[in-house]
Amino acid sequence: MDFIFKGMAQGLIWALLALGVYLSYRILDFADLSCEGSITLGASMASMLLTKNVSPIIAVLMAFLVGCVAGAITGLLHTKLKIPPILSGILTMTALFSINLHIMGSANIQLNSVPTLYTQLSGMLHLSKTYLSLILGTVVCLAVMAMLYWFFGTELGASIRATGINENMCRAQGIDTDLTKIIGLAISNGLIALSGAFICQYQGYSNINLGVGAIVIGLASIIIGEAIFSKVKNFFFTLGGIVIGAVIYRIVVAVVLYFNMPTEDVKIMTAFVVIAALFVSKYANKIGKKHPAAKHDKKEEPSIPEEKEVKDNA
Amino acid sequence: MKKIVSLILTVTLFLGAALALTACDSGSYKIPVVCGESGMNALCGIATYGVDYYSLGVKAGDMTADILLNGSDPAAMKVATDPNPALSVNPDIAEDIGFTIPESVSSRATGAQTQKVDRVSSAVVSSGADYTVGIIQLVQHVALDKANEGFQDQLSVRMNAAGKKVEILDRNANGEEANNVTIAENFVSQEVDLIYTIATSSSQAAATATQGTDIPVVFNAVTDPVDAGLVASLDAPGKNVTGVSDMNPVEKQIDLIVELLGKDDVKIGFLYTSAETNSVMQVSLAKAHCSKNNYSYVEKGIVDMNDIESAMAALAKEKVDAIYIPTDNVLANASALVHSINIGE
Repeated sequence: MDFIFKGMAQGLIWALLALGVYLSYRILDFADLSCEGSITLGASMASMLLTKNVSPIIAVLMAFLVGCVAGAITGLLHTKLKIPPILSGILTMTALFSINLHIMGSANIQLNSVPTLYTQLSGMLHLSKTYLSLILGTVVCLAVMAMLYWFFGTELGASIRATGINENMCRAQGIDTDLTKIIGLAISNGLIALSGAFICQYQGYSNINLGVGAIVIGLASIIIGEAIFSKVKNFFFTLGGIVIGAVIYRIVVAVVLYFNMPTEDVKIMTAFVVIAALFVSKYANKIGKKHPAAKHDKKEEPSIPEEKEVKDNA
Repeated sequence: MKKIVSLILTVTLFLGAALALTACDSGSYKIPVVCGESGMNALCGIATYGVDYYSLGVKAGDMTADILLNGSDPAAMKVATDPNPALSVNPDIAEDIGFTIPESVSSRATGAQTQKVDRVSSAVVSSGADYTVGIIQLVQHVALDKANEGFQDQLSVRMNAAGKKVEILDRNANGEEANNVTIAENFVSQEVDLIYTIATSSSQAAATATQGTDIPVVFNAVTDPVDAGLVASLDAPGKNVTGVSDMNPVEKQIDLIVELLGKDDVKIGFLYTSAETNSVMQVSLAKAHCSKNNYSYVEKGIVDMNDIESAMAALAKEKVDAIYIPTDNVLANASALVHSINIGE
């Protein structure tokens, strides 16, 4: 069972990535592919600072900041140069590859000989690494969720959410949608870089290929989270669902790798998990009348449920 | 009017495309290539001193058997390398590019035949084993697969000789860093007797996951274990981690280029992937060796396979006498492509 806890601990760190992807993909409705670059950016920045004996907390915060800058650049490319979302994300990701190499100075940095957040805290709290990372991951995720919950309740946060729902309407209301998009993407990529900063400290090294598959992990976590917690209306618990989705995804991978499944089939198994989650959410939509996801449809197409009611009355 | 303009534009476009195609087609460089590894040499090189990953795997298997059966302490076991890299020549490739390999070199060649170890299948069981060994391999790759095969073969032989059985848990991270960590942590949870890791980041993940435990880690296919933070020094690793370095004899290979060309004022082009730590390090060794011996050199780092064509063109423009490719994952996979670009196919 120990390996399940370890999978959970790892999942909680990757949950930050999932939250970041959720902000761009769901809230802003912006398919941002720069995440594979910004997760490595966070890891490179944090590990480079750690090897320079900077305090781990400052390293983590700096990683968040450079991630924000990367996200803002994607936003600027899209809003000012009118580059389509996917392409501007890809451009940032491509450029980040070189930037990450420059930051690290090589393709791989080891952190086993420098103090990291985990070694420092386990020295202070006398906890095993597994429990420490479980507690730390939970605390960080809850803190990030609370901050996002607060932020998206403010006027700026609400206008970012509105931009994702109906951009034209927002502009009609006098909201600067360029600005809201840039800020939204900056926060999203900041969180993704934050995830990278924790990942490199957890695994004890940072690598230029750290971001490989990150977008799939992020999207899969969102879809699993939404499928399981589809009845939740509260924004805070929706965010919680994403975190739990990321943890479930990591546990599934850990189980697939733990039991003697052919190594070639790991990727297809993860694809099946996502397909299953999508199927479950689709199926749940069909049977649950009071389903919040159905309610979401209602917002966009109010005519359909109304017709039903008319028929029922007749 | 619009129609005429669009017609002219279309025709220009077609002409431009045709011109570009013919320009691309004309490239045949026929520059002698020397690679850092015998597998790559077989596909695009004329000769090399090669490190054989199968033999490295066999060596790692021996170290593992020593740790498990004889109780050797990994902290005191020297990091092993290939002591006598074999010189192999490739007359077919040399003929393709119209290069004659000097008799002095070809007569010394021993070839790249691998000394295969006969696997004793009965010593590898799936339950009721005396020892459990976990393998983490970063990604499916010709050289890494060989390192895995050689290890398993030799371990089975040693176990059989000692009358013991071993269970081998062979896992592959499919190139994802997060999976490295998951596999390593799974092995620690399962309390395996030893972890064998293939490639640098897999080894680092295992080293981190085994902190605070006494599970030994034997690595392979790590070029610079000190820089990777795996061992304190090559002679005295100091912790639970030791293994085999796949460092190829860069200096010997550069000297081989000079010997092949038969002149001292050579200009060597280095072709490598700039994102690979191992390659960068080998190239810096090669540069140091060149500076020491007054050989001039040009370096061309690539990002991925798509850059090989233009990098080769740039090296040809610099009029290099030979190209040196270190052991590099991207170029190892593209060895055949390097040769076809070289002969202009």
